[in-house]
Amino acid sequence: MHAASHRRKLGVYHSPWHLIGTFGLLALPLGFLLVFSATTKIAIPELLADVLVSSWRMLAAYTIAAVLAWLLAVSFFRGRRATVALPLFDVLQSFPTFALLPLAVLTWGPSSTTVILFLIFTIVWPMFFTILASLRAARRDWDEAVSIAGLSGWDYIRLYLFPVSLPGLITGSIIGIGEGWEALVATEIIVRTQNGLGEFFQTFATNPRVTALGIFGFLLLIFTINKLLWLPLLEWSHHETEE
Amino acid sequence: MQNVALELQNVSKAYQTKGSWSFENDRSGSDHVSVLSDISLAIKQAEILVLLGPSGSGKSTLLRIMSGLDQPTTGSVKLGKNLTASDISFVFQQFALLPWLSIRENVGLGLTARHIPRRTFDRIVERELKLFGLLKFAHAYPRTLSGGMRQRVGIARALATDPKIIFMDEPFSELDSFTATELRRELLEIWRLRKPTIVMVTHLIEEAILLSSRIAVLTPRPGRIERVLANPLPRPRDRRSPEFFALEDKLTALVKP
Repeated sequence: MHAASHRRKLGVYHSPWHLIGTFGLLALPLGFLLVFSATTKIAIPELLADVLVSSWRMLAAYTIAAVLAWLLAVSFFRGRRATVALPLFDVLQSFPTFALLPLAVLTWGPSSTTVILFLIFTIVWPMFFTILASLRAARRDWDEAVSIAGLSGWDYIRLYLFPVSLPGLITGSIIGIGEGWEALVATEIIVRTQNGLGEFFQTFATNPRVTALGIFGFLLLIFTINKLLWLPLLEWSHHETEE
Repeated sequence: MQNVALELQNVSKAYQTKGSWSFENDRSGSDHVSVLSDISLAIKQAEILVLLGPSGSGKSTLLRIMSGLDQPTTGSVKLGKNLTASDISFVFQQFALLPWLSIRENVGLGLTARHIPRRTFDRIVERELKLFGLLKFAHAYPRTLSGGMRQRVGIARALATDPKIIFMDEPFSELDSFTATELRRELLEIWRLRKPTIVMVTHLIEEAILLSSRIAVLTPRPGRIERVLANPLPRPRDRRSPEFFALEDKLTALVKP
């Protein structure tokens, strides 16, 4: 009981040291940025601007994709609707969205809108299918207990649907964002945006040293986000649904 | 319907076994399997009716149909006068506690659904927790409790909304015999004080005799009512009495494997 209440206070982190240690990881990409800047003679604000622009595009796309994936999953996870819709979603997730990239560039130009739109298509499907798996794996008697209790509306969402879908939401976020970073850089390079990580790699395409250091910094950033956020969240979400 | 809590008329249930959308009653060689057949039964207010039958006789399916968790293929289920779906609660075989909610939140689940004011919520939940000796675990989570304590939470949750009918699906089958005995005693005490209608499924003849006002014996699949017996033994029941043994023998002869 003590452990349970202790865990509550710190949220997803086990102990104060876990919290300090995890946030201490932030020093890694920041330190690397300094080394990178000194080695390549590229100004820090310039480097930071590219990272921040791409990160903001990723955050916007992820937020929209997460909401969309969750709404789709809770709408189609059971019953007749699921039987009809799931094969359709399976086809849709296999759709080669990049075939529409030239059309998107013609419509919105090499803008953040184009990049975010293609990121949404990349992130939404893994999230949708993992949330769906979580909802379908829920014990039937949980659903029945909630039904007998008479939970409905917002109470049904906050006390049942959301907690049940949480492990899938987090697993899907890890996979979706992982694929998303790749799609982000690719889209930024293809549509030739004026800023962002794609533009950075495009600019230094002929400089292997900067490219290698950039990729290393990029991986360091992803590693830090995973350690800071996703892995503790994943562990916590599984713990929450553990009996 | 006076003094009747629930009435079933010609209830049948069949499940589809092959990929067809149509749904018909079981016929030989068809793609449906019949689980329950033509069950008619009236459950009286404030009685403990035990559904007794071998594995696969459809006891749990019948209970789920009675509670509204499942629908009959044919036939009807009617609640007694002035009773609605919110007068029903259910105790599950494997407790069905929501692991992300504390014990207090689990017990108060039905109250939350009914938007009971905070002060009344606290008072009712505290009353139920106290009744089952769970007060000091109010803020713990289900995973930290033993099976017996979890089922106490399950029963407390079922009682918190002051239901008129409580359905119980083999509620003690996951517990060790000492805990099960203790919980049966607690259940009888609560029933004596509050007098809800209880419909309980079991495959244990001794448990059926200890608890029941009446016992409905089901046949093997497809489940039909073989016989409904009134339990005449005075409470508290002595499981070593000749009358107890006589009733046990009678039921053993009726329950076909």
